[in-house]
Amino acid sequence: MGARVPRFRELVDTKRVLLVDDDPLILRALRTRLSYVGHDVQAFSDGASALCGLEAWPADVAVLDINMRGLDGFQVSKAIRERYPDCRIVMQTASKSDEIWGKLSHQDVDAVLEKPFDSKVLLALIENLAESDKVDG
Amino acid sequence: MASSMKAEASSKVDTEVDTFVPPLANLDGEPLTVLIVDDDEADREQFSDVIRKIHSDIRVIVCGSTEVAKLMIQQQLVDCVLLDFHLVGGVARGHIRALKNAAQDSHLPVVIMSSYGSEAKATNAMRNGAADYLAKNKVTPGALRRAIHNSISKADLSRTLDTERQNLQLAIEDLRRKNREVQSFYHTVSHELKTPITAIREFCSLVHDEVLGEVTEGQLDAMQTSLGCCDRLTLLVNDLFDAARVETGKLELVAQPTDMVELITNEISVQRPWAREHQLTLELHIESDLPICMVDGMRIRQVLANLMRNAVKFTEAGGRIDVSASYQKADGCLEVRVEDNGYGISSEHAEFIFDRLYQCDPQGQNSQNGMGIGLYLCSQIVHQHKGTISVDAVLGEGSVFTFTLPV
Repeated sequence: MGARVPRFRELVDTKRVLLVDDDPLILRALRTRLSYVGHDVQAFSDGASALCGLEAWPADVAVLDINMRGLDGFQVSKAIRERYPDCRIVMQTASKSDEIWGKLSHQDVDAVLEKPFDSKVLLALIENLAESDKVDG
Repeated sequence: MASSMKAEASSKVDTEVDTFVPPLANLDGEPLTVLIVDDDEADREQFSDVIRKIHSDIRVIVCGSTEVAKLMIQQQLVDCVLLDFHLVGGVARGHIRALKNAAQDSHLPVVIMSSYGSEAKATNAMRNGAADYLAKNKVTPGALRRAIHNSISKADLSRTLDTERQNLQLAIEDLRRKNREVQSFYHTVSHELKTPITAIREFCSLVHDEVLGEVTEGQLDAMQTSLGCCDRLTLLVNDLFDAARVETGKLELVAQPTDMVELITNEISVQRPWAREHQLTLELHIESDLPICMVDGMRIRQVLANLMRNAVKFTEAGGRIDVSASYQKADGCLEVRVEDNGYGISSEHAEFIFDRLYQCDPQGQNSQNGMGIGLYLCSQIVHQHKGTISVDAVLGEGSVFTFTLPV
């Protein structure tokens, strides 16, 4: 029998988190997790809608899937970098292709997560990026 | 245009030189046509006579310059050219190439004929694309027919070689394309499997962490097991993808100085809960002063994880697994052993167990069979490290998997 884990509800700093993934299940699961700990979350299933959403709602952190119909994660991340330089970017991908990872190594992003990942790692990442923002700022 | 030497005629050359009958027909069944290019009319006449003596069926055409020769070659099929060395002024390459271009056949046999034979001239002519070289004062029917026959045979062989080379090139291209397709297929499969695994894992995690409401101890335990299964499924998908990398030669190692005590201890601590879950005793015997090894740490952990997964899978509850690591000073290598007292492997299977997609069926445990990729990957990774991997097993008594890494 495993040890009872504490509920992951303690939140140090609420962030505006933009989620973009064309898989509705992953989007729902991550949104649930991030909202649960108190983050302000906006979720989009495509890049164009996400960029529209950002105009009225600037995010602190964007969590982007790479392989998406329409604008892919690389294009969305480039647009975010140009328009919202303060927004931190976390890329996530289920791909292992050399082409994707080669492109990622040249992409100006803050972190990359390979699917499947433990969403608690994503929570920690968002927290760390927020902390480094404080140091930077 | 190609000419042919019939196998029959060829064998006669080898065995009956004196009674050799030269080729009578080219590939199209026409009599051979030999073009003599020489600005000396007397020479042209002399060689024409000699050729006619070789065989009356050989058609001889003549001209006095390479310019006219090109036109003649464009207009009719020529099987062999006898080219005067004096005409080309010692710069044979351009002339020979021009004649071959006119014939649209890079293998058109051109035999250089020179008034004053010398080895240097012969070598130079051959280097510049001539099929053979003859000194005019040594031309006899026998020498000329051999020169014509040999140069035509050589051209035929070269054409065949060219065709085979082209076929080989096509086959290589085809294999490369198939390789890309396989890589792309595995990539798609990996991506398509990992996306739902991500969702399953996260929903299990939401329940497990009570994000969706309080859960009982039993539900918590079930979720923990599900999460473990998701992680194992992920490893299998990654193995599948790595196997594709091996097949396409893309499994690259990133070797770094690695503390092997730390690496092995960490991996065993990851595997320990699973062994406990299967009610197996897991013991680690590790020398504390193992040398630092230049290895790809992630890949060696993958090897250890695969061997551990097999040991757990093929050992009944109540059994034991012993992992040991030691420095073999005499061989200058690190030796890691994973020993279990499980089902074991029969010798007929042990021989092939590291082969790709090989399946064995220990004691009818079909449901426990994997994809036949894990041990294959282990052997590939260890061999890429220039190490060795082996199994010593007795059916019904257990297995010992041993791998070594150079220090």
